[in-house]
Parts: sequence; C-alpha cells; structure tokens
Amino acid sequence: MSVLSRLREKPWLAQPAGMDPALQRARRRWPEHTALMFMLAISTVLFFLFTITFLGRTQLPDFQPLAGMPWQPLTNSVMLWLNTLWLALSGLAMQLSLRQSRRLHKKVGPWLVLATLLVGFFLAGQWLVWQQLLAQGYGLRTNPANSYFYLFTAVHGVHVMAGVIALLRVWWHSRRQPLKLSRSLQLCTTYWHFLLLLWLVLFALLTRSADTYNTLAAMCGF
Amino acid sequence: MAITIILVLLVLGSIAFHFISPWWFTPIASNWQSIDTTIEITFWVTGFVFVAVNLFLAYAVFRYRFNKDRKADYQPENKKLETWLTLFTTIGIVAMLAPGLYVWGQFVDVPADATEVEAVGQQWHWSFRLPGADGKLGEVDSRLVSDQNPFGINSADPAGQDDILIQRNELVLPLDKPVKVLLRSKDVLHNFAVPQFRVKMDLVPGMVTYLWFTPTREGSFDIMCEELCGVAHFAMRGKVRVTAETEYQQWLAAQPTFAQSQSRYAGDTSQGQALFQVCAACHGAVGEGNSQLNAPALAGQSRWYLKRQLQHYQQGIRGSSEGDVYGAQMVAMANMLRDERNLANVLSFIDSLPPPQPKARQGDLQRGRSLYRNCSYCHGSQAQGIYAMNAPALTSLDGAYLRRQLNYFKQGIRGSHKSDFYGAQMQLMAQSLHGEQDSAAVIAYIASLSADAAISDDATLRSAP
Amino acid sequence: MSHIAVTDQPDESKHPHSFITKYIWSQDHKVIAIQYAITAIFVGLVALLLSALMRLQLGFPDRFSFIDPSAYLQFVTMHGMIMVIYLLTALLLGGFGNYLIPLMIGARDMVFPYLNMLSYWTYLLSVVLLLASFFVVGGPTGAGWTLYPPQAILPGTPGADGGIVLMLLSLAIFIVAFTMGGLNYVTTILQARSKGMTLMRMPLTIWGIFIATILGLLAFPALLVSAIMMLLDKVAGTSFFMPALLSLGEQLDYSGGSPILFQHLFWFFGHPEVYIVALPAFGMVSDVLATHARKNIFGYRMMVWAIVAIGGLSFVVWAHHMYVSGMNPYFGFFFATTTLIIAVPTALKVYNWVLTLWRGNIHLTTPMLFAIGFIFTFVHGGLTGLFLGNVVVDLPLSDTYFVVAHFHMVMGVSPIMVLFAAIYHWFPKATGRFLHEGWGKFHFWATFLGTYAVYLPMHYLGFLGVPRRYFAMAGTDFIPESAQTLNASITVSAIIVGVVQLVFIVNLIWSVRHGKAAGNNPWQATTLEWQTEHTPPGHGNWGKTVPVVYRWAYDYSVPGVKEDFIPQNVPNEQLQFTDKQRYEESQQ
Repeated sequence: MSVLSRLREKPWLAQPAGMDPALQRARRRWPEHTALMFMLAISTVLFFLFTITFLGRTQLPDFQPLAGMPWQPLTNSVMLWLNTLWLALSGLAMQLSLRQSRRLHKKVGPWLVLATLLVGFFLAGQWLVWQQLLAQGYGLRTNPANSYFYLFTAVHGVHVMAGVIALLRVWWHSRRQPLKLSRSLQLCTTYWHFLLLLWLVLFALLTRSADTYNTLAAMCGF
Repeated sequence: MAITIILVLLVLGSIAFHFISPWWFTPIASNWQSIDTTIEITFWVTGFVFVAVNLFLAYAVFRYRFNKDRKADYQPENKKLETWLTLFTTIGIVAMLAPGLYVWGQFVDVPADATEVEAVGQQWHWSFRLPGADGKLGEVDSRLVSDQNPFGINSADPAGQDDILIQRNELVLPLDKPVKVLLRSKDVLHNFAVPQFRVKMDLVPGMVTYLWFTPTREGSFDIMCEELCGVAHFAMRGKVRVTAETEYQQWLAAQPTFAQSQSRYAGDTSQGQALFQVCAACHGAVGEGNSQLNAPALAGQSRWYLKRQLQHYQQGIRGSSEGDVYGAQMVAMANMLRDERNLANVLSFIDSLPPPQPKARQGDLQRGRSLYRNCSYCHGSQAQGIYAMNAPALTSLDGAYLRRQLNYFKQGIRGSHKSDFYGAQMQLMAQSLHGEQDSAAVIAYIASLSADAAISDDATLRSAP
Repeated sequence: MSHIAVTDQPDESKHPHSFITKYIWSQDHKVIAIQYAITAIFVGLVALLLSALMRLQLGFPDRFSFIDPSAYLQFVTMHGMIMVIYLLTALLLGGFGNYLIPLMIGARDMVFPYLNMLSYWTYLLSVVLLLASFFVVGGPTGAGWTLYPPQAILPGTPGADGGIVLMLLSLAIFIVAFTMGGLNYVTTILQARSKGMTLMRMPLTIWGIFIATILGLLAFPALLVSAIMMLLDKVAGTSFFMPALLSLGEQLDYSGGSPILFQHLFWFFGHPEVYIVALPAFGMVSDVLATHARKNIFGYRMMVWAIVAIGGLSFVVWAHHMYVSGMNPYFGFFFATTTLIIAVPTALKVYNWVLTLWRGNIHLTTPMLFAIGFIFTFVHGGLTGLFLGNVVVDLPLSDTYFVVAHFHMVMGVSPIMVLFAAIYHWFPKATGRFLHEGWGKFHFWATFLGTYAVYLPMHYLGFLGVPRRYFAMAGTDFIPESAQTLNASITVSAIIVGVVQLVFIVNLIWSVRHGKAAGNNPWQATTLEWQTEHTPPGHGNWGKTVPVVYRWAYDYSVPGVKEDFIPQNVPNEQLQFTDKQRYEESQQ
C-alpha cells in the first residue's frame, strides 16, 4: 500500500472482528536496515550541503580550481584514479564475501581481510595525495579550492574509517553465527557501495575546471 | 470558569493596550508610507483572527466545562467545515501577501534618478562617501584601507579622486530626493537602520548591499546598527540630517575630496615651537601636563586626536556645556589656532616631544584589568590609542585628568553636544564603569600599562577574563 | 547489537540488577528519558538565570556592576543557545521522545538500547563542554546564538578565543548525540510498532515526534557543516566564510569568503529547528486536549497531514530570517510566499484544537489549563509571525524587540506551556503519583499571566524601533523615557515568572515521594502507555505479551458505549454497549 493511500485511511472506523487488515499484515522487521537507510540519507545531506557551499565558493574571485590547466596538480590525477581502483576492488571483495556468507558455512574471513586491506590502501593513497599536494605548496589555507579538497577527502575518509570499524565489529560479534553475519554483511556491503559512489561524485567534483564550476553554479542559481 | 474570564480579559486587554500604548511607530520621514499601510492590513487580518479564535476558545471552555451528566460529542472530522476554514485562511493570507510583495517590488527596484551615497561601517563607527563632481564612486578595496586611506580608495582610479569623504558619523541628505545608499563594511556585519525611514539592510564585508528611500521630512534622525557587531554594538550610532537643498549644497561644499585629503600640509616643527609657548603656560614646556593647573599632557597624544579636539573647542562642540570649567578656558585658547597651517605647525611640534610617564596610581589592578577589556578593543591593549577606531591614547594622561573626563562622560557634561559622536559613544561605554572604585581601578591599570608597556603581552590581555 | 524490542517475549536475562546498570549506565528508554529530562531542565535553569541577569541590565541599567557590555552579550548568547538546543530539543525529543515512543507504540524498548544510552552520554558531554566555556579565559562566546561570522571569531566579540571554539565543538558533539538518538526514534517508530498499530492509529504525539526527528536528522547536518567550516576558519585560518577584512584597525589574512553563506547554512538548520521544537509540542498538546476534554481529536487526518506538510515546507522557508541580510533581494518574493503558505496548515491545527474542545466535556485539570494556555500563546505568536514572514513588513521590524517578543511567544512560551502540560500529564505514569494540583494551578496562572505581561508589551517596543541585543538604549532621540519604565516592568514580570518556576521544581521533587497515588490510568486515557501492567512500567514495559492494537488513539465518548473511553488495546468484542445501534451508526 502506498504512503499516500495509507495517509488517507480513516482510522476511527470500526473493523469487523477478525477482519482488521492491520492485524492480518505480517511485518518484515529489519531495524538495522531502516537505520542504515536513514544514515545514508543523513550523510548524503551532509555532503550535499558541503557541495552547495563549494559551488557557491567557486564563484568568488579568489577561487583557483585544482585542475583544468596543465600546471595544476589534479589535472593529471593518476594517484586518485589508483585510489578509486582500491575502493572499487574493496567493494567487489565485500560483494564476494557477502556471496560466500549467504552460502552458509563457507569461508568469509579471507574476503573480509582482503576488503579491509584494499580499503587501507585507499586511505593510505589519499594520505599520499595530501602529502604530495603539501609538497607542491598547496596548503590548507593557500586557496579555498585546497581547503575544500582537504575537507571533502577528510570527511569522506572519516566515513571510510567508520565503515572499517563497523565491519570489524560485525565480524567479531557474529563470526560464529553465519545467518546473522550474512545479514550484517549485506548492510556493510551497501555502505561500501555508498562510499564508492560518494567518492566518485567527490572525485568528479574536485577535479573539474573553472568552466564546469561556472556552469554548475549557474544551474544552482548562484 | 476563571480561565474563561481571564481569556476574555486578556483579549480585551490586548486590544486596549494596543490602542492606548504610547509606544508605536515613529512618525514616518520617508516615502515608505506603503510599508505602514501593509502593516495596517496585517494588523486588521491578524487582529480579527486573534480576537475570533480566542473568544471562541473562551466560549467553548465555558460552554462545555465538565458536567458529569453529559457526554462529549463524537465527531472524527467534518470535511465541509475544514474546507471552509482552509479557504478563509487562504483568503486572509493572500490579503496580506499580495500587497506585501507589491511593495517589496518597489523596494527592490531603485528609481533611476536616485543619487548614490556610500555608507561605510566599521566597528563601531560610520563614515560616508559621496561620488563628487563626476557622479561616480571610485573603486575601493579593503586591502587598501590604512590610516592614510581609511576608505581604501584605489588612487589609480580617476573616478575616486573627487569622491567626497565624510569621516564622521553624520550624513546630510537633501529633502525629497531619492537616495540609494550603498552599504559597505570594513570588518564585520553591521546594519544600517533609521527607524523613521522604515527600511534597513545589513552591511556585509566582502560585498556591497543597498537600500533606497526618499526623505520627506526635515530633521535629524538616528542611524542604529541593528546587526550584532561586537561589544560596542549598542554604541554604534550615527545621524542622518535631512535639510533643504540650499543648506545641503553649503554643507557639501565644505567637505573634503579624496584628492584633498591626500595632500594635506604636513606642518613645520620650528614654527610650531614658537606658537606652543602660549600652550606651555599651562600644559608645560615639553607638553608634560600640569595637574595643579588641571592641564593634561599633550606630548604622547596622537596628532589626529589633538586636532579633532582643538576643532571641537573652536566649533563649540567641546567646552561649551555647563559644568565644564576647564573646557571653557580652552575654548578661548583654541580659537587662537584657527589657521589651518598654524594648527599643523603646533601639532608637528607636539609630535616631536617625548611622551611623559604618569605616576602609578592606587587601585585594584586585577579589577582594573578585567574592566579595561571593554576599553581595549578601541583604545588598544596598551592604551596606545588606535586611529582606525577613533580612540585616543590614554597612557600619557595623568589619573586626575582621566577621572575627570570619565565623570564628565558619565554626568553628560562631555559628549552631549549633538555633533560630538565619539563623545556620545564614550558616554555609553562609560556606563560599564559603576562608581568611583571602578574608575579608580581602570585608571590605575592604565597607569600601570605605561610603566611596563614593554613587558605585558598583547594577546593575553585581550582575552583577560 | 542486542535489542529486545523486536521479539515479543521479554528477555529476563537482560534485566539490569545493580544500581549502576539500572540508573546510571541504563539502557532502559525510560531511565534514559529521565536522565535527558533532568539534564535538560538543569541547563534550562542556568539559561533562565542568565535571562534574569540580562533583564536586570535592561530594566535597571547602570545598577549592577557585574554586568558590562561583554557580559551582557555572553548572557544573551548562552541563554539563547541553551534554551533552543540544549533544553527544548533535548527535552522534547531526548526526554519525551524517549519516554513515550516505545510506550505509545507498544514496544518493549527502543530498537537500539545501547545506542540510546550512548546518545545520552554524548549529550551530557556536549553540555559539559558548553558549561566549560564559562570557565575559560575570555568566557563564553558573545556572538549571539546565531554565531554569525566574521565577528564570532574575531576580537571585539567576547569569547572569540576559547569560548567560540568550545561552543562549536559542543554543538558538533550535540549533533552526534542527536543523530544517535534520532536514528533510534525513527527506526523504532517504523519497525517496532506492536501488532495492529498502523501509522494512522498512532497518537499525534508520535506523529509529531516522528516528523520532528526526521527534520532534525536532515537539518542538523547543516549546522554541523557550518560548525566544521567555521572551526577551520578560526583554528586553521581557512577562508570559507571570511572575506578580506580588517579587525580593530588591523588587516587580517583572510580573503574571499562569504559570511552570507554561513547564514544560509545556519538557517537551513535554524528554521526546521523551530519545527523540531514545535511539532512534538503540537502532537503532545493534541493528546492532552483530547484526553482532558473526553473527546476525539477533531480532524485527525488533517492534523497528520498538517504535521507532514509543515515538516516538508519548513525546508523551503529558511531565508525569511535573512530578508535584510544583504542576500539577493529577489529571494524575498519566493521566501515570503512559502512562509505565508506554511501558515495555512498551522492555522488548521489551531482550528482543530479549538474544535476538539467544542462540544467536549472539559476537565480543567492543570495539564488542560496549560494546553489552553498553549493555544492562546501560540495563536498570538503565530499571528505575529505573519508580520515577520511578509518580507516588506519585516523591514521595519527585523532586529527589533518585535522579533524577540515574537519568537519567545512562539518558540519559548508556547512550547514550554506544552512541556508543562506534558509533565503534569505524564508525571503520574513516570512516578505513579500526581503532581500537587493546587501548586500546579498556581504555577500555571503565574506562568501564563506573567509571560504574557512580559511579551505583549515587548512587541510594542519593537514597533517603536528599539533594536535587540543592545546593552543600553540611552542616547537616541526616538526612544522616550517611558520605554525605560516599560522595560523595568517587563523585568519585574520576568523575574516573578522565573521565581515561580522554583515552585514547580519543588513540586516535582516533593511529588515523587509524597504526591497523591495515581494508579495505572488516572486520566482514563486511551493510548497504550496508560495500559501497562505496572506504574511506573518495569524494564520491558509490558508483562508477558505486548499489547495488540484494535483501534485508533482517540476513542473518547463513543456513542452507545458504556465507558467514555476505549483503550487502544480493547477489541470490539469486549465493549459494553448501552445502545448498540447508536454505536453502529457512529461507525458508518
């Protein structure tokens, strides 16, 4: 039943005994899933708001994009592509571990170790990008574009780390309960895909040229 | 029962209060009569709903108060009634919104013949800039702001050379001419509001905002800053004086342009020394002051401050109020320096004198230090005076003089003249000192600053509790 | 994560036994709710004291030597911030949300009890940080509760060093706490309702809390974003919100940022925040009115739709706080229109409350008096909102005492009326005893009349043009002497109201042990929380089985039925009829 028709119900009308549809309905309950969906919504809003302020900031005169011209550091973003690969592969490993765990009593551990390792590569890679930028003189406060680059990657990184902690917790707590593990892993995998999607959007956003920003900002009405 | 009576009384009382309240909009002095009309419409609509809903509420509570023999009605909903109520509410809303948006359209759309005036806000002063003969305001950049160029005008831009600069808190406007006020801030958010004009707008650093109006009544009106801008927010006042065209032109002609302000006569020390002999009789041979004669030290005081005070004496802004005996003496003396060049010469000489060291004073230094925090924002953490904040140095002044001036401010002897804006601000700020002990403590603390100016540390002081 | 709400059987092994696990590190939603409530009321009293101090300065300037301009701004700022965030949000959602959600929807607890406990302790940490700012060098921030940059982080504003940093950190931590709690509330409402409890059978309290929590979850990130960016501007020297500027005559290193951007973010949070406070209050007052008028809530469906509509619209009205902020003036047309549209569902709610009383059978108990007081003050505050929402009327009134009076009426007085109504109404469930009725009535009259005496005249200071956040008003031509007299009278009323709250506190403490015993369902209410086996309910809330729901929450005075209320968990077969035909007609 759609939300709209539910909101049109007249709850005061008596239901004949034994015919109350509310008592017939069997309910599928999975609170962790609902909570995760809300969490993803909250994170999306968070990044959406950062992005909006970012687009607004690109329109102020002192903003110098990090990519677009040959001398700008992210025009050639091999490092970032490599990091993207780690994150994507980690998601793949998660997906495989989920498949394993659904066929109960299969080995899940190795895949989880692999996924964690790959995510570790991603974080280390991001750290290296930071070091490289700093070495080239692109400090946090030298330009708003840099400030936003560090801010976005840091907040995304915190999300990734939170994911790793959650995953380790899940594995530790349900390593002997295959059914529970598989349900929890499904949520973790969803989160992993969300992290990748988020990163792709940020990656695309942070390595645009000034023209693209101007177009985007114009579309948002700045 | 009681609740019914009280609700009815509150409704009637609110209406009565509305009609007998002496606190109401100030008489309007601009073209924005239409804003007042919109408010009136809003009052009728909302007033009707307020009375109707609350009287109905009072009646319902009375009529259906508890009765053990009666059962309440059972009525889950009534579509028809709810539809009608929605409809009536919507009509009421439209009746308020439509005129509101129409008038806002007028506010957004500045008439083509409006003259531009720039109002510049800074913590906690106003200054103004007019376009000059070419009708164009010159380019500005907050990076160019300095003591020599307080407006930050780009001297390479020819349009800026003839800009008329008004470095005080009073703006004069001609009657019945639409003005577009461009608003610019040097430091933080401020707000340009004149209650009699009805309109207001924030000043935002980094951008230029605007509002427009046509003054329709002669008189002098308060400019209030209505966006919290720091400790002395409440003391950031200005004036708009609306006058007839002829008077306005006279005033305008007397204001300096940017080019003039950049090429002032610097002054000659040796000529100044000769002129200073008259001053030396009271203020001492090297301007060290003489507390026996109630003459403050001049050496060590900022040049711009001395100049402003001399001009205030000459114009009767200072020394003219009842009770200011020593000030009255100074008026006659200041009149001897009416010549612009002589004034510059004397000031140059005073500039060359070594600052005196006033004696340490008795007082609670701890308390003084904490009280001085509010003073430090303008007068500087070492009481060295800050030109940009229009605040003189305090270190060279002896305690008796400081105390006398503080009392003058508190009693309204100094700072009450309508053109003494900085004095008026000090009157407000002096309110934070309660009683003799507070004054003594703060003065003792100031005296201790000049003794060990080198030791104490700027950063810790500003954040002292 | 362990949770007991999803299973129907209480898990005996999970019941806490020691004092510490029962009352301190408790995972029971009722204990957490009370912890939230006590902490919130405590900081609320601090904020009340601050407001009294600043009223002293306004009413009797130049009289109190410990209030200087810096201290005054610090009082104003901390009063506002504490009241809006740490009292109202925390008490309504953390306190009442926690207590009522599982009980009203027939769950054994929140779905994530551990997370719930964590939420409280994180909230407490944010409160500790907030209060710590009173003791750092320079004191707490005095930037106004809106914390606008650039001034919030520059010298010239009190607390621009330690105070503002602690404030921002405290807010960030509060948001984390709220998010943990909020995830719990929405998930519990969606997933842990007992059998038969459809969405449209939920009491309006739950609807209000549900939508308010969703608003909070989606709006608080905006505050988090602005807090993080401002913290970086302050600590790391970035220029997110800071343009090139001077401070006290010195050039600073910042360049290019936009202070208005902060204001957009802040109000994108700030306006929904108004409804985060208002919607739970709307919901609770509906239930109090229906119960004590012995009548179903009039237009239940309309009430639910209005809550949802208000929730949705509250995200597209934020810039009505910024009409004179210097933003693009053309935005004014859009935001004035959306703002006035939101008045329609709000007005309908008011009509329905009054129509609920119409033809009721009204018991004038203390909770009912507070509910009536709420309707009166909310009508007043709502109507003055139409002045400020209509962009051009806002021009002369914004940043004056009219604004202060308006938002205190609509966001201060009226939600607090509901909070008191709710405390008097649900206290018997939480403790098994009534609050003292006589003292309660005294508390009502003094608070209701006292606050009206404070805020009605204050609107007129606003018409006059008296600006807000001024340490002293002296030295203008347009403010007459009489305004000072008025300010003094407002101060006296405010202090009386403040002192009367102590009577309430004493009543609370006294009644826990000495109040009249209440029994399980003292108000003869229909909703599930009154149908528990024990009062106060034990851990797990229900006895052997959770209740099954057969009807909506408002079966009061159903025609032809013997009792004048039918609890939600009573099936039709168990009804005793006096006139079965009339009953059946009413159900057509």
